[in-house]
Amino acid sequence: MNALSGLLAASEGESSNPIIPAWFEVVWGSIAFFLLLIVMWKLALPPIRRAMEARTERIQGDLDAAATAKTEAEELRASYDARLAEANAEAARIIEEARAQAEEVRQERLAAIEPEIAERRAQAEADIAAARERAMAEVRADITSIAVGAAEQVVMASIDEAAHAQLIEDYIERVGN
Amino acid sequence: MDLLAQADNAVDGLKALGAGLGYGLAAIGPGVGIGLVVGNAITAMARQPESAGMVRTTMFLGIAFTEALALIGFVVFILLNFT
Amino acid sequence: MNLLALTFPDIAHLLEWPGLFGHDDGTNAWYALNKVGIIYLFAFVAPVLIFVSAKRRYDRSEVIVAPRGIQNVAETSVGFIRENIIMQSIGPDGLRYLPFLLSIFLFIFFSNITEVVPLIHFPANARMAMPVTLAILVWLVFNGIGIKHHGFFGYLKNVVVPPGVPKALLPLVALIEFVSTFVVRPFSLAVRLFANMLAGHLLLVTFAVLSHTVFWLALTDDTPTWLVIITPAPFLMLIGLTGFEILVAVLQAFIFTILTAVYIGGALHPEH
Repeated sequence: MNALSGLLAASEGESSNPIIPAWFEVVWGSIAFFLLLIVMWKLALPPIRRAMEARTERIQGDLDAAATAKTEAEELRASYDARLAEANAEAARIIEEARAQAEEVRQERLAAIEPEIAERRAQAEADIAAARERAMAEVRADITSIAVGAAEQVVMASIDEAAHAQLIEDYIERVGN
Repeated sequence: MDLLAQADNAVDGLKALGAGLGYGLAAIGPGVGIGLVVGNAITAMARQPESAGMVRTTMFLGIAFTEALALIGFVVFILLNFT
Repeated sequence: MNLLALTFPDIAHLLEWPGLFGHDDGTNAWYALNKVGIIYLFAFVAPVLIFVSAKRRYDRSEVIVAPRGIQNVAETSVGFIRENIIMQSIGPDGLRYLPFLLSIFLFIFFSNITEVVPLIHFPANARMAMPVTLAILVWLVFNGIGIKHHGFFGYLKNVVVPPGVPKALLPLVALIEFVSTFVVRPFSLAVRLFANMLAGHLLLVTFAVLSHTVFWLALTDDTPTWLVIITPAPFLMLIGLTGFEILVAVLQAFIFTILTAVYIGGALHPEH
């Protein structure tokens, strides 16, 4: 049954109280512990603590620098934004001014040109009326002279009814041509 | 059986009985105590999760102090039983 | 004890080991090196290997390097002791004691964890040797710090006269405080570590023996069926308890260290 005790290879000596420390174990344990303490204190820990502190400082420094950079960037951006808004307002103002000026100029020009147009229109209307008068007079004179001529012809050939008709016919044809 | 041997057996049996009972009795109080400590620590952590780290450390300290009584009972058990 | 043909080994078989040398007639000489001593030496070598390999990386590189591999273990343990133990119980002026507390933590942890290491299966702190030595060392250290900072009588007054105690109660309180600081503290420190590890070891042994016995019984012919059915139960329990003992090994190292830090802090700043 005691396969377990074989595995454990435990002591065959008299069983002592487990509460009482065994001296030889205290000796080896103390040697191990004080060696560990000395190695840790003098050799292993200082460089590691230095490195950890250096890294902490560096990370903190990086974080601080990043925070500073961020604040600066934000300030810069705020100033850019302000300037942009200013420029936009300025541009809007200039455009508005230009538009007002253009409108003013247009109104002025319009006002200046109005009487001239009216004058020219009156002139043109008078010209048309005169031309028409002249033409009417000419036409009337022509028709009179034609009628006189036709009457002469009729009077001259009144003997013959047929000749009379022929004459009128001829005359009209002539005039028509 | 020899009367002396019987008495010896009786003493051994009483020792074992006392050790077992002693350990069991010593474990009652710390059992309740650790339950109280941990329960209140959990309440504290639930109320203020931001101070959970401090509460946990203090909880372990409290457990350690409370548990010491049960462990002393255990040591007495060993002293009575295995010497 | 005999139950189900189960023989529990004698406690001496579980705890006492013959020395590799210095072992005559079943007794060990003062210089005998046995399994417990070897585990203590392992608890010295393992942390040193970790920290030296981490240190070599710092020595090799001039620039600040990101931690890698085993270096993380070293730095995590240093950070843990610094942030979770010293800062919380002493304060920034306790950082001087970092090497001492770190050594205690690593030494106890590595001599506890062998409890669950296959083929070793023995927590060196289940022997009273180092718990009591370390407890006495801690007692000397915290009292030394108190005397160094406040003088002998000043420290004694700090210890036995807590602030805000009525005059009538003072003798009683002073006696209780004296005993609790100078007697109970080292005693409970040693017993806590020792008894926790011993109890864990006995628990694991119990379930190992039970598993072993039940398994061999299940192989014989005339075993009742119910016993065959419950065969895996002790083994499953053993697995669960092994996990629990890993937790206990870490926790006991932590508690020993933080109590040391609390005692040092109390000696440094008595007003708390």
